[in-house]
Amino acid sequence: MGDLGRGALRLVGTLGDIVLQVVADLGGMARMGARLLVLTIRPPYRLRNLLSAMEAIGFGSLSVVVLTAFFAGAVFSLQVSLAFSLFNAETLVGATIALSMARELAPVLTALMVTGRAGSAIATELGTMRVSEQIDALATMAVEPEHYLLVPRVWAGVLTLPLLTAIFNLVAILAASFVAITVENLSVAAFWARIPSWVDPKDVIGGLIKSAVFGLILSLAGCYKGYNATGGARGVGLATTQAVVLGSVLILVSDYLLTTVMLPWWRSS
Amino acid sequence: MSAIGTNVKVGFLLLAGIVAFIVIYNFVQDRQGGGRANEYWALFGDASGLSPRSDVRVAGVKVGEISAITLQGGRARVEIAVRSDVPVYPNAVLMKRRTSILGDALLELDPGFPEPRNGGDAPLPPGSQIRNVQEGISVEQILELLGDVTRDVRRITANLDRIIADESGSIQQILRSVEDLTGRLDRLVERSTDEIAVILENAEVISYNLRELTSGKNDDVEEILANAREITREARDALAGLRASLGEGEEGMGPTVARLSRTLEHLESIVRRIDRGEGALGRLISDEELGERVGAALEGVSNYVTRLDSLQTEISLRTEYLFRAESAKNYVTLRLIPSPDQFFLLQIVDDPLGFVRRESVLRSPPGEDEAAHQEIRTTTDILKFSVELAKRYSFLAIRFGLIESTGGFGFDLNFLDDRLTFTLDAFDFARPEASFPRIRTYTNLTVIPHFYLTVGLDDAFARARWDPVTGRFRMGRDFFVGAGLSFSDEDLKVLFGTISGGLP
Amino acid sequence: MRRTVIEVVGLHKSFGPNHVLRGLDLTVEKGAIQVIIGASGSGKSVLLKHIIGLLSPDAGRIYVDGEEITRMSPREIMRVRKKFGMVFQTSALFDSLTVAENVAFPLRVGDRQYGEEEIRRIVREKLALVHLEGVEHLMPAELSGGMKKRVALARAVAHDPEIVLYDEPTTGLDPITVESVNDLILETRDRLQVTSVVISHDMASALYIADDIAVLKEGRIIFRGTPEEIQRADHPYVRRFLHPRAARP
Ligand SMILES: Nc1ncnc2c1ncn2[C@@H]1O[C@H](COP(=O)(O)OP(=O)(O)OP(=O)(O)O)[C@@H](O)[C@H]1O
Ligand SMILES: [Mg+2]
Repeated sequence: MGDLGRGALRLVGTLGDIVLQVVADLGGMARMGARLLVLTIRPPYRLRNLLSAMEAIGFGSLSVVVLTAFFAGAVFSLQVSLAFSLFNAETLVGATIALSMARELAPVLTALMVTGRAGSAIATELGTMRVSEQIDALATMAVEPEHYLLVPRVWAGVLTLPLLTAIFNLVAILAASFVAITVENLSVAAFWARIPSWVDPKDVIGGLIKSAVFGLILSLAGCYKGYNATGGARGVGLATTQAVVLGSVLILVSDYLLTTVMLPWWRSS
Repeated sequence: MSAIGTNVKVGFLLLAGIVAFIVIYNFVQDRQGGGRANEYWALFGDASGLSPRSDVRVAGVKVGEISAITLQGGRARVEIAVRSDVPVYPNAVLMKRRTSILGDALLELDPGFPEPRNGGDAPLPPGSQIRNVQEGISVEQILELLGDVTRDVRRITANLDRIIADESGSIQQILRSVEDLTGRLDRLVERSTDEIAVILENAEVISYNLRELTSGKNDDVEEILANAREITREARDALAGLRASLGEGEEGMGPTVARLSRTLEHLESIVRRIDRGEGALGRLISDEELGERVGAALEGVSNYVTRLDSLQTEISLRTEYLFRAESAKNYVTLRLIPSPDQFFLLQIVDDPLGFVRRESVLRSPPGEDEAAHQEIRTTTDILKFSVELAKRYSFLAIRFGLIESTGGFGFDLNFLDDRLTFTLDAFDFARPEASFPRIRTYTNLTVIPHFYLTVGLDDAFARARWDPVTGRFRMGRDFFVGAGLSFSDEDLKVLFGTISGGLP
Repeated sequence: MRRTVIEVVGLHKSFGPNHVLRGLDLTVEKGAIQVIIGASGSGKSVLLKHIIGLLSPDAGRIYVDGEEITRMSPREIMRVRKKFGMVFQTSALFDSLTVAENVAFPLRVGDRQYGEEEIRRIVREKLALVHLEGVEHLMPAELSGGMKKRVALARAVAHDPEIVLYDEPTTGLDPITVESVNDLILETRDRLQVTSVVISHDMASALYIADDIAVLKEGRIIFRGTPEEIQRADHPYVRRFLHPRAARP
C-alpha cells in the first residue's frame, strides 16, 4: 500500500516534471523566436545563409516529401474508395481526399516528415557546433551566432514548408486518383468532378498558411534545442531527439488550434 | 561553385512549389461562367445535407452554389449564387434533393417563367427571396402527415355530422363569425391603407430606405388582394357544396344562405373597390399621377443608391518609420472600387528621402576646352503621387501606373478576407544609381477593423548609401514598420446617411 | 610606462559547486606577451573566455582598453570583440567550411571590405606562416589535430587583431612547428604592437616568448614575474611547475 502510494507520488512528480519541461521549452522557444524576429530586421542580411538553409531544409526534404505524399495519397484513396462505395458515394471520394489533403494531411504530414529529416539535422548541426565551441568561435569574430546561424534557418523553415506542402498536395491527389481509377475502378470523371465545388482556393491557402507556421515551429524547435545543447556527443543526441519530439508535438497541437481558427473562414463563402 | 549549386536547387524547389500551387489553385477554383452571379435566398424548414458550396442546378446543369446557410426565425435561410445569365422569375421553385444516402444534398432550381398577368414578367431582382420551396420529404414525414390528414378528415366529418344534425344553431354561428371576420378584414385593409398613404406623402423627403419599404408593402398589398380573392372563391365553393349537401330550398336555410351570400358580396365589393382604385390603397395601385410621383422620387433615391453601390471608396492613412532614414513616411490613399475585380488608387506620399529630379546640363568648366554634360541631382521635399490602376483575380491584385511619381507596377496577395496582405512594388526603373528598379515589399495585418500594422523592406536590392557630405541616408535598402487607418465605403455611407438624415 | 590593455579585478566564477575562479586579478600591458600557466582544470580557459566576454563573471570586473565589458550590452561587446582574435584549445574550426573559408571568415564578417583577390592572398600568407600549404580546399575533418590547431592560429590572426588570445597554441605540435608558432607570436607583436595572452603547458616556449608569466592556482594568480624572475623563484609550486620530477636527472 505504501509502495503503491509512493509509486503514484513519484509518477505525479515525473508528470509534473514533464509538464514543466514542456512549458519551459515553450517559453524558451517563444523568447528565442521574439529575439530572432528583432535580429531579422538588423543588417547585414545574409542571403547566402538563407539560401543554403533553404537548400538543406527544403530541397533536402523534397524526395522524402514526394515519397510520403505518394503513399499517403494512395493508401487514403484505397480506404476512402472502399468505405464510400458501401454508400454509393463514389463521387465524393476525390472531393473528400482533396479537401482533407488541402486542409490537414498535406500540411501536417509534410511538417512531420521535415521535422524528422531537417529539424533533427538542424539540432544536430547546431548542437555539434555548440559543444565543439564553434558557436563561441563565431561569437569571438564579432558575429552574433543567433543572427548568423538561427535567423536564416528559421526563415528557411517558414518559407520552404508552404512550397513543400504545395508539392505534397499535388503528388498526393495524383496518386490518389491513380489508385482510385486503376485499382478501385472509379471513373476518371467521378473522381475529379466534385473537387472544384467542394474544395475552395481558401482551403489550399489555409493549408499553406498552416504549413508556414509549422515550418516556424519545427525550425525553431531544432534551433532552440541544438543551440542550447550541452554535454558532448550524448548531449547532441539528446538535443536531436528532443527537437524532433518537441517539434512534432507542437505541430500537432498548433494544428488543432489553427484549424479551430480557420474553420469559420473555410466555412464562409 | 557550391553557391551556384545551392541557387539552382533552391530555384528548383521554388519553381516546383509554385507550379504545384498554381496547378492546384486553378483546378480547385470554380470556373463557372466567368464569375458574375446573382444572389437569392430561400427559407427551408430543414437544410440538413446542404452546405456552403453545394451545387445549385437547373435541369441537372450546375448554375451556381450555396453561398451561406444561416438561421432566420427558427428556419434555415439558404443563400444561393446563381449565374447571372440564368434569369430567375418570381414563380421559380427551389427543391432540395438528396444525392446519396450519406446525406449529401443539392438544390434543384426551376427558374420559372414570365407571368405577365400577375406582374411577374420581370425576373426577380438579385437579393430577393425565392418563395416557392420544396423540401425532399422523408418517408417518416409522409407517414406522419398522412396520420395528421386522416385525423383532420375525421374531425371534419364529425363536425359536419353535428352541423347537419343541428344546423340552425351552429351554421348561423359560423356565418356570424365569417361576417365578423370580413368586417375586421375590411377595417384592417382600410387602416393600413391610411398608413401607406402617409408614408407616401413623405416619399420625396425620406431617404433611400423608402424603396425597400415600399417595395415590401407592394408585395403585401398584392398578397392581401390575392388572399381576399382566395377567401371569396373558397367561401363560394364551400357554400355551393353546403347547398348541395343540405338540399336547396329547405326550410330554415333561406336566411342563412342569404346572409352568407351578402357577406360574400361584401367581400367581393371590397376587392372590386381596391381593384378599381378607390380608397388610398386602391389609389396607390391605380392612380397614375401619384404612381408617377412616387416613381420619380424612388428613381432619384435609387440612382443615388446605385451610384454609391457601384462605386465603393476607401480612404486610408498610413505612416511608417524607416530605420535607416530614421524618419517617418506618410501616405494618404484614396481607393475607388467600381467593381470587385478592379480598383483605382490615388495616393499622396510624403517621403523623407524626397523627390529626386535629375537634370543634364551643358557646362563649360573654366580651364577646359570642351563643354561637358553634367548631371545635377536635386532632391526636393515636394510630395509624390501614385496613380494606379488595379485588376483583381481572387486573392491576387495586379497594379500598374504611377508609383511615387515614377512608372511602376505591383502585386498584392490578399488572405484571410483581405486582413492579411503581402505587397510587392517595383518602380523607379530609370534611376542611374542602380541597374535595377526600386523594389518595395511589405505585409499588412489588420488587427482590429480599420486598423492595420505593417512591416516591410524598401529598395530591397540596392546597397544602402549615405550622402558623403551631410551624412543623410540617401537611398538603398531600408526596413520599416508602421500602421494605418482605413475607412471603407460602409463607414462613409453611414457618415453620409447621418448627414443627409439631418436635413429633412 | 606602458598602457594597460586588459585589466581583470576580483574575478569570481563558479560552475555549480565548482568554484573555479576565486578573486582573480590580472593586468596585461599593450604589446606585451602575457603567458599564463597552471595545472589542468585550474581555470585558464575559463579566464580567457571571460576576457573576450563569452562567459560572464559571478563577481568582479573586466576592462578592455579602459571599457568595462562586464557591464556591456551584447551589442557593445560585439564592438569590443572586433579587437580580438582567439585560438581555441579545441581549435573550433567551422566544420562545414573549407580551410580557406575558415581562415577567410574573419575577413568576410569584419567591418572592412576586402576584395576576393585580397582575401585569397591573405589566406595564403597566413597559412604559410604556420607552415600549411596546399590544404586550402580540405575540410577540417580531413586534417590532423596539429593541422587544425595551425589553421585555427591562422584564422585568429587573419584580420590583424589588436589582441590575440591563444589557448594552448603549441600543444600537440612537433618541435619545429612549435618554433614557428613561437616566431609567429613574437613577430606579430613586433610588427603590429599586438597584445598577446598565451596559455601554455610548454615551459620552454613560455620562457622563450613571454614578457611576463602568471601562475594560476586555486582560482588566483599566485605568482607573477618575467621569465628570469620565475626561474629564480623559490615558491615550491612554481618550482615544481618549472622542474617536474620526470625532467630532473
Ligand atoms: N562550461 C562549463 N560548465 C561547467 N564547468 C566548466 C565549464 N567550463 C569549465 N568548467 C570547469 O571549470 C574548471 C576549469 O576549466 P578550464 O577549462 O578553464 O581548465 P584549464 O585550466 O583550461 O585546463 P586545461 O589545461 O586542461 O585546458 C574545470 O573544472 C571544468 O570542469
Ligand atoms: Mg583549457
